[in-house]
Amino acid sequence: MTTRFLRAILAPAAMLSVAACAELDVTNPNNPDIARALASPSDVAKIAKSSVNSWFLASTYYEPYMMLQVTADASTANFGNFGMRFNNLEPRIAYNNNSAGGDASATVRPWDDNFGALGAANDALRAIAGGIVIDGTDGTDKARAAGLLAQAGSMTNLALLFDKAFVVTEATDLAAVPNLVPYTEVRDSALKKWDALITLTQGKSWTWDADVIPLSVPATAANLNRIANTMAARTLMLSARTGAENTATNWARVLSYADKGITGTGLTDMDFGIIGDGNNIWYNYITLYGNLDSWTRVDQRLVNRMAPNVPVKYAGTNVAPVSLDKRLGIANLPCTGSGQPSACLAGVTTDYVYIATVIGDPARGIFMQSPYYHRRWRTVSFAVPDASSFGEFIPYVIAAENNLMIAEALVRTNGDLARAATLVNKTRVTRGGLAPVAANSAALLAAISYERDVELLNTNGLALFDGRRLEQLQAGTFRQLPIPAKELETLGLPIYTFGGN
Amino acid sequence: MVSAQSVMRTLRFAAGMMLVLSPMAVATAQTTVIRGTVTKLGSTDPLVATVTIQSMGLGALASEQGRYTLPIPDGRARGQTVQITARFIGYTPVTKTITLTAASQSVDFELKADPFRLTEIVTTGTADGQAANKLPFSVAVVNGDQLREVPASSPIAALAGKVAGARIALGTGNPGAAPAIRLRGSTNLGVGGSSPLIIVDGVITRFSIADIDAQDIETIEVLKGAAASAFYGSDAANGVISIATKRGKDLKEGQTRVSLRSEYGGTSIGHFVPLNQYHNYLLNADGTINETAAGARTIDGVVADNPYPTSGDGRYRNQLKEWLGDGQFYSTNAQIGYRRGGTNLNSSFTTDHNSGVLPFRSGQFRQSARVNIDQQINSKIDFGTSFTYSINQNDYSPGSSDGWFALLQAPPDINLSRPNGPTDAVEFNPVLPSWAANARGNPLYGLKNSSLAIRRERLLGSANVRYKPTNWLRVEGSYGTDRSNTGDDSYNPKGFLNSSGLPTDGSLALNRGTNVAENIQTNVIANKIFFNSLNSTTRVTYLLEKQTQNSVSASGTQFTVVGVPDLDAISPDNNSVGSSRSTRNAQNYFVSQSFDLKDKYVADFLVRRDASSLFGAATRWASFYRASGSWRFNEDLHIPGIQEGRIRASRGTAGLRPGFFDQYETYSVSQGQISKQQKGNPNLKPATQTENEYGVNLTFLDRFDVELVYADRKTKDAFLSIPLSLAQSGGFTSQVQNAATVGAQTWEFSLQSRLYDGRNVSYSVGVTGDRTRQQIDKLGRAPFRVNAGGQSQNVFYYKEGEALGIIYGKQWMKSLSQVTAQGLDANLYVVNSDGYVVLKSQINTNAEKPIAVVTNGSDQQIIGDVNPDFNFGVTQNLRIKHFGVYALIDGVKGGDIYNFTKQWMYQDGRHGTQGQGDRPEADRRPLAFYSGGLYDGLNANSAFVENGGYARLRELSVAYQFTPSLLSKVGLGRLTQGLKLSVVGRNLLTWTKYTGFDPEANSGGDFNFRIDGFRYPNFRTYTAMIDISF
Repeated sequence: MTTRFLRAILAPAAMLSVAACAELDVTNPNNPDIARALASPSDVAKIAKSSVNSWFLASTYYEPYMMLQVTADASTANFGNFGMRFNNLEPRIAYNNNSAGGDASATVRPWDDNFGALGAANDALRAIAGGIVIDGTDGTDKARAAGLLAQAGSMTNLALLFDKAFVVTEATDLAAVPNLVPYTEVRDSALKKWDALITLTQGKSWTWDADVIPLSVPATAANLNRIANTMAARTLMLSARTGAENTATNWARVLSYADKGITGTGLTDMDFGIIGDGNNIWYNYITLYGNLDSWTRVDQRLVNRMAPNVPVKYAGTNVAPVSLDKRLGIANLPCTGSGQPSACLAGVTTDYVYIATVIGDPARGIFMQSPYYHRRWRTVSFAVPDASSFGEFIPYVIAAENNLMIAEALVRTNGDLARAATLVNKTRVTRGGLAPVAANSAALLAAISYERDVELLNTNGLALFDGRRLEQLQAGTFRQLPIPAKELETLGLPIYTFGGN
Repeated sequence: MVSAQSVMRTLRFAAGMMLVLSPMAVATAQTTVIRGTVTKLGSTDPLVATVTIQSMGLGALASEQGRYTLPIPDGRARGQTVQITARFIGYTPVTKTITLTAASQSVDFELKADPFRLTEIVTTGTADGQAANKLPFSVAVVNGDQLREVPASSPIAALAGKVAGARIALGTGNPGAAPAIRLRGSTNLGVGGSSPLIIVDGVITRFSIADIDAQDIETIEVLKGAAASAFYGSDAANGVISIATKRGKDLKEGQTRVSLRSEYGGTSIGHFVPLNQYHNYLLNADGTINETAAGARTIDGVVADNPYPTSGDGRYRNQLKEWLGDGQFYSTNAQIGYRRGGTNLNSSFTTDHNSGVLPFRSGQFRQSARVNIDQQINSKIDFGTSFTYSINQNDYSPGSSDGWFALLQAPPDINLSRPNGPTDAVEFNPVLPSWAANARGNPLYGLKNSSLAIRRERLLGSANVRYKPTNWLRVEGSYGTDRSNTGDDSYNPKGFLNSSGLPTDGSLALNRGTNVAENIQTNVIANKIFFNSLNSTTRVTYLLEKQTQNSVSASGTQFTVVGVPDLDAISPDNNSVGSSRSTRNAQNYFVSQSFDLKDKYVADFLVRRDASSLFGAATRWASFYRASGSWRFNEDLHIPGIQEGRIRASRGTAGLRPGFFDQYETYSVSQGQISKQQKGNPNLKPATQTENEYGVNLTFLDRFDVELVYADRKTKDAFLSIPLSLAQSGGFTSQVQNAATVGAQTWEFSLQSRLYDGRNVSYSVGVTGDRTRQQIDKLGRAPFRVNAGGQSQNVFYYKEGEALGIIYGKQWMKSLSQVTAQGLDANLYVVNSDGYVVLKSQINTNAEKPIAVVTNGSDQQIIGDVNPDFNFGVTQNLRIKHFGVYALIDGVKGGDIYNFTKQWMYQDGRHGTQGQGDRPEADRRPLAFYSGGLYDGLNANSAFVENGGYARLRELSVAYQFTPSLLSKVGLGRLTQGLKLSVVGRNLLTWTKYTGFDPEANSGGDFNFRIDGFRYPNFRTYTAMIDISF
């Protein structure tokens, strides 16, 4: 009787339980498991490759570079986005380093994105150092080169942007908390990694797989070697925070790197840029917003250098340019309509154009307005539909930047001034239609500064880096970014900031 | 209002349970019969009651005349003493002791009305059902009667103001958005993580509650915390809401009942955000605004006190009133109920529509059909099934705030349909004139020209079998499933203009989801009476849960042809795809034991073991328990005037499960690129809440029923997504950890009263109130700002020892004594006409700005606390003859809201308080004081912290019930048995000092984040309703 009862009770229960035994060890099929991925050569290679994309996007993101160009009075905008408005105020105010403010992302993004890219690059490099061998001829070297580019590049960004940062490499033991070090040490660590990439690619004949980065030139070891040299030169040169530090820069070393860079002695000039994929995973936000007339205009400080009749500050009155430089032109006026000048740009080919309209509310500061527009990279900007940027060249470090670096290093090392003049004239004369620069130091330095301002706007957002070392910034402009408040809160450190009077 | 008629009509779920739980062996050889009548106390009105001899498993249902016949099977009447009980819903059961002999006997019952339903059986969280007046822990019951007058948009909305300790708010008014609910206090530090477990007809639901039709509800039982919800283990620390839908068990034998209810009306916004009617631009002589050749406006002074033109294309418009139209709202519900022999069923169909208030969007359309069937197979086995199928369609996402940001900040002197003047070639041109470039574009272009089709199919199904091999033992098996198939298609046609006004090649994004949750449960329940007075119930349960969610997405951005919203029409270079899969499994066992001594002393114990795949591998199993007891003291003390008194205490533990992705140490992959995001935590275990609950229940003077409860809970190992230092974590942004302990203390009060209950007039009032204090007892990291998501600033701050819901920011000085206290020279400062301290040297200039208090070198102070002093709800029911008025007012006293919408509107001078034209000249403040000073770059500051207290007339109905005799007189007697006409309003009136759209605003459906950030506000609905039964 009891048995029958038990059977009656247990049978359905047992049936249900057996029929539907729950598997409690559930895997996550959506994302690669870290331990598994780092043990898989092809995954390690993909992590290294992806870190190059992460680094490139971090290097060209609108935060902080749109803010930096604005606060350096290269471009101008009065929108609250990207920190462009409050760090464009005159007189300058301190950067609002608060984890809640509207400008918080201006530091959080570059800090997090660069450390994100660095973390992934370090993972791949650590796996390779641990003995992972990647398939294919030179597979390991190619992956290591990708990891090194992202690693060195991220450290460069951190060194250029922040007063302090952590140096974390594949050799860092994350169980021990790393220390914050000043930007000079971050810069030196970055240089070591660029050196490592230069060594790794020296004399090699391999070419990167197509999925690393869609460079506008073949991704050969030789070209990467040149890119690494240019990046090392930039790192060294642009990290100076003041005129004094700029003077103290090891210009011989800058010259040594730059002359083996994307331009240089015995080399054909090339750009370090990419080919657009329709803004899918490869794009440059600096060009996307920097050449969008309804967002960003050119600061009249820069226009004034080309057309001295234009005041250095916009004061509510449009002044048409009498330009000495053929890179500045005038749109087909009147440029009326609903704020976008496509029609009046028809036939205009100059880099800069006077469109005679301003945007936005003058109450935010008339000096934040400008009737001048930069259209050099319009084909890869939000001024055109995403899809049309497919296959278009997107700049990052163009040949002119390297030529101007060589030129400046030559001047500052008392080198071949005639060669320096030739390098400056490459853009000054051919693109600007200006008289060739005299081969003397003062004229060269002025012309180099002019060319850097005019030629390099909206490529990689270096205006603040130049502004600080050449002492061109308005009083009270920050020369570097503080560690974001969000990070300081996480680290339990006091919050600080820069800028303001 | 519980009318006698409605009680008669509604022999509720609980009664059905009693029938089932009291096994009725149908005897064949009948030699002994017990007969009698069941009537209302003090009258001869019959009751269709159930009469049972529980110890023998015998029962019978009385006829419509109140007569019952209970046969005793042959040989079972052996002179023993047994207890025979008569029960009827809404009446206190009566038990008599009789001696069973071979001779038939007569036993009559007179039942006393139980208006507060104290003797009704509560099933949720109990071993085998327990009378409400004996429960040792809190289970709030809301029954169909309380939901009938004003059908709610969802079962959660239906609880508003009716359950003490339940905080319900519609953080957004989006048609189809599910309201947020929090029972007692917070259990975690995430955003929106306080949703309780919702069970519908035994199905553990995992997908949107917005699909459940509130008109189908028979009862809702609410367990508010671990002291009760330990029964549901690792998924129940947020409480449990158990919904039972109508099953037709209240019908008489052979009866078929058909009813139809239809409601039709409109929607409108009750309160608008004030908009600025003044500016400080130079005016032309004709009153129009001057524009320079550069297309710019010229500033005219520092104060916004120039009027806009009153005519012409650039005239002033209130863009909100101009475009937020009156919408449509309707609902039709048909029900059919049937009962015959061992079969009862109820089936319903509902179709409803809520268009909301936005232009060019038609909002939500929902159809749902339900069938519930119960079948008694023989005396030992019965079977029941429930199915609900619904389709929910929407052309505006219930989580979206599209359009609001731009609409609230649209310049008033632009005709949004032709923004660049009457000759603008593009209707609703997305590009505004260049002087308005700082505005947020044209909100109407996207609403008009892009399309979204959201569709969700939902199936809820359950089946259960009960087998009663003996009088005291029952074995049950049940299966429940919740399935949701989702799809959303968003489409911008080729030629769709981007924000720069350029024609794009269009885009199409298709997302499809297939989600299945299943639960299988086996119960063995033993119910025995020992020593004649100790009723013991033992339950052993095994519960298995499985859930899979799969989704795929495909999108593309470049149509090669016009007018073909198909991915094949997209250039192959511009397609992208994605997919996601997740599985959640759990196995749970528990044993529950309850003792009931002499109907006076109840003790209840529970032990539960849960395993879930969501827990880390090392911590896969977790234990939970509950111990509780109650004493019906008035059964011993007999205090005059008190009909029922009970004190009770309970302690229990319940858990919360982590999210699917939280434990896995993975890279993120998107579009083939690998990156590091959240760091997995393989050691995650459930958060565990321990709750102590003490309660007193008192029914007195036959008119009042009061409950007072105090609950104290601590949730340990609460989940916290910890922002990591990317440098120190090797590139990870955050990690979910069992990092925090969250405490909450709640006082709950509820009062039900029947102040007057006469033949022609009745009046009843229900009051609920609760006060919750909650704090972060432990925070496993340095204090930090919390991102509440959406269009909202990180104004909230988590710090150990502080409450949840604390706002940090700049505290503007408002008195010169604060200046002195800062060590500043008060002579240099002055208090301006808005009450803010400003520098004398800056007053009345563009530089005029408020001054922040600084303490310990920091200008970040506590500037607000969202927690209200208390929540309240008052329901009133008045019936005068055939007229009935029902009203529900609920709200909160105190608690702050951060008006982020206002702050952002300050940037462009759009907010009403920035217009100075109506102020005395001397009081007018410079525009920059607002758009620069108080706006302060969107930093959190005290200017935007507002009192969020409110009282809201949430539900109102005025109804007229036609009697059968009246219907006969007007010739409708044959057509219908009952007809009710009513007018219904929802959210009709709100009393608040809050200046935004809606004081219910919050972020992420979370009451800890009361921040108003451009969300779809709640709105009024007003409808006419007809209710017919056949």
